[in-house]
Amino acid sequence: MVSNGNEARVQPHRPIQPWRSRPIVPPVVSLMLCQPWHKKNIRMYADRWTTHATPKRCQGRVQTYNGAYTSFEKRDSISIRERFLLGRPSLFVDATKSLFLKTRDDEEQHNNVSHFTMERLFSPCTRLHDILESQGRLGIFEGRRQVLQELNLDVSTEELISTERAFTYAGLYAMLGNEDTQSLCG
Amino acid sequence: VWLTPHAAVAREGHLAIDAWDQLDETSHETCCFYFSADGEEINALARSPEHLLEICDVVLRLLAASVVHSVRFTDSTLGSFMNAPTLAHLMEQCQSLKCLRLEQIEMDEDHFRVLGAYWGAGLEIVLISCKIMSAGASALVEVLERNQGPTNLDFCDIDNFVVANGLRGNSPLKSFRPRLSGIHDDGNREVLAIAATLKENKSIVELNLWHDFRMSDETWDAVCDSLKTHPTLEVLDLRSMYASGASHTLSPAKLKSRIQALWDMMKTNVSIHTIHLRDHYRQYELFRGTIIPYLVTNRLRPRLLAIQRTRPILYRAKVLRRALL
Repeated sequence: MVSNGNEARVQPHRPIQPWRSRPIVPPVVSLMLCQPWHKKNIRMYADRWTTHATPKRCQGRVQTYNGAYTSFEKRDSISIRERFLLGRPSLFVDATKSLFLKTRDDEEQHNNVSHFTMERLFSPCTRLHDILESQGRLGIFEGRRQVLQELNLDVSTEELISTERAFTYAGLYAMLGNEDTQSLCG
Repeated sequence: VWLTPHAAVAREGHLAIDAWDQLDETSHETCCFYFSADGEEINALARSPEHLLEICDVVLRLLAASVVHSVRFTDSTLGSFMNAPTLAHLMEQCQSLKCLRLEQIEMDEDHFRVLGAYWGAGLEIVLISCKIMSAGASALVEVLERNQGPTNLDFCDIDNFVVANGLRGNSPLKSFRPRLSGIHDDGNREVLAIAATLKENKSIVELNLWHDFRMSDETWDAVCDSLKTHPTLEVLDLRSMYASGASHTLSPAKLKSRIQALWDMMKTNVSIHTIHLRDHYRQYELFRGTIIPYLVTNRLRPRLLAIQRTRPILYRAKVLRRALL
């Protein structure tokens, strides 16, 4: 997935296939251990995004787990950092906590997991958004809607630690401490 | 926080660490590994040792690709997440490394072979509360005998009878605090074994024989005797937790006997300038009148020697004369 902000692509608005069309993924989908096979599928998912507007400020649209669309503004393409942050706003929400645990159970119990795992791993923020919205509690993230954005994983472990990327411990430390960082993008 | 369903990393003190515990309440025990590089602390959390191993491997590979001077690894579960090949890779890649601290790491002979192979002058290696297996203890002794290996051994779980053999001669080991048995007979035997080889030691600067048993007179005398001519020791800790209760306070006669042993040691030792003891030693007049003057003399000795090296006797005599007049 393009993610360096200079390549905001304008794509035609096209219908997005439901989750069942997604290929089956292995049961253990670790974000950090995402191998090229996973990556390919993630790219497919990422390609469902539609973006337009300027490189610095663009509009994002994402399909939620129930097929609806959620729109949001974003300054850049989605970063892996944001993807890693997905659990953070939900840590204090019981619904998302149970979602987290269920996702994990699915991974362990279903050897041929598929769309459930894929859906839950890659759309929990959207689900959280919808859950909160249905409960009328979305206001608690007023002004911080970006934490509910659906995110996009575009870096595998091998890429992360590759010589070319030259990512270091200090980079990881900075990434963990910077709320707005997009240091892994591009 | 960087979160997957099974593992996370977060900065030390980050809210995410508490949140992880809440999130992972179904797990009996969260596995943790703490990284620190030049003061930048990152915690790795996982719900199983397997997942912790995976996430630690990624962080360690990032660390190996970094320019850092001081690193510390702490394993909260006393596991073996820092294995020998990983340690070797890190030490090979991190040429800038000046201080390596391993805390609560389980270590075997391979770890010490790596530490020996990559040891270099100026590299400080500190082992704190590490669990050193029996073969590891022998390997540690071999490494020390080759004048390589750790500079600090602090409260490590190791066979003290074996590690005592590594104290002979000159080695990088500068600070030694053995984890002594709390059982009286065992503890005394361990200290006696250490004292027997301390006579031949020529490198330790700090020796901490903090103990939690009743040290016998024989053991006390053996320690004092072994340090009479020690050339480098500066700080000695002989405090006992066992004597904290009133019922275990030494009798005046026994106290006097022990201070006499210390006095005999200080008469010939020219390096020890600090001795940590329980308060009742310091309150004893004999201690203040005999031991402390020697400690002060040794403390000032390096300064005196430095003056002697830099200024001729004639110049110093003139300065003294001016001061007296």
